[in-house]
Amino acid sequence: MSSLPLLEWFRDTPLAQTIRNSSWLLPAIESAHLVGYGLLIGTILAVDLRLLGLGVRRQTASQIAGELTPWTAGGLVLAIITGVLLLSYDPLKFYANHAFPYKVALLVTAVAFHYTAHRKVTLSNASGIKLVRNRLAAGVSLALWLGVALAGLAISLNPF
Amino acid sequence: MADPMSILNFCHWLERTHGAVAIRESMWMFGALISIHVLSLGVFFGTVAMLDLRLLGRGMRNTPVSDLVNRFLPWTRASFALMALSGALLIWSEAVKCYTSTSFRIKMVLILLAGVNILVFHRTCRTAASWDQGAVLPARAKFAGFLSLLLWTGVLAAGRAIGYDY
Repeated sequence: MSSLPLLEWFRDTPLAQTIRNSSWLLPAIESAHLVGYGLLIGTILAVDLRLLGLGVRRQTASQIAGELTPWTAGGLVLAIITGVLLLSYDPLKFYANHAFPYKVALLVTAVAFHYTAHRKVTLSNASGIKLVRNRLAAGVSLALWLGVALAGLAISLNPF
Repeated sequence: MADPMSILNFCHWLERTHGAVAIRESMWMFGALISIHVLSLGVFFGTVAMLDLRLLGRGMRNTPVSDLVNRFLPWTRASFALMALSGALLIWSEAVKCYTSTSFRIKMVLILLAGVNILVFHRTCRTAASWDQGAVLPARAKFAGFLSLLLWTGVLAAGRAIGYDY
């Protein structure tokens, strides 16, 4: 079964038409997408730096993550909602874009990793004993989110 | 008759220099510069937003403000330097387009205002250690955080809008 009819339906929804007919909605949604991305990257970087043993030692990674969790989630939700709105602008373009499936795959992997293994390591509160595990979790996390950002850039820079 | 000393003429000259032409005509330079600009934006905006939210009392309330500053200021500075460098190279390659873009001018003014906000904050607020550990901060510290979030979001939006200006 082809997903084309679904994409065409999405393209023709009133919401998508409103965005296409506006001169300022698209740049505004793109800006909100970047704000969400910034919040996400900044808060994850804060936790991962702590896991890597860089930065302030006064608080554990678990404490830092505990305080930042709502902002990480907020940034993620904002980026996903605006991302779906950006898709609606021209779903068929994304369907044909070579970088798009990579971004979706990397995003799903990054989110899954963040809320399972990464979370487990962060909450375990071990600051010295299992250093290798901490560093591994932080390294994988940073690599995955960098990959998501790079794939997103590839979509916007490459029309094919 | 064009004034030979005008900024516009300077921009015309600037984007005809070898370096500017090299960036424009390269297959990958422009994309690489945009990528560096946007990746460092994530680190910059994220670290700035965390401090701003702390000042506003919306997160990290148990962390002393000075701890946050010490921990993240190097990252904020490094990412800003990368953004400024990649941004300067992008301006070099498209000087006339930037000069004539309203969004670009708004962006530059907002960066300037955000810079003034930082200077005022660091001169007046950061020296006050009395509230460093407090969960709720004095109004002027809150205001600095609010203004910072507003101005940097504006810088980001104006930057995004440059691409739609022509």
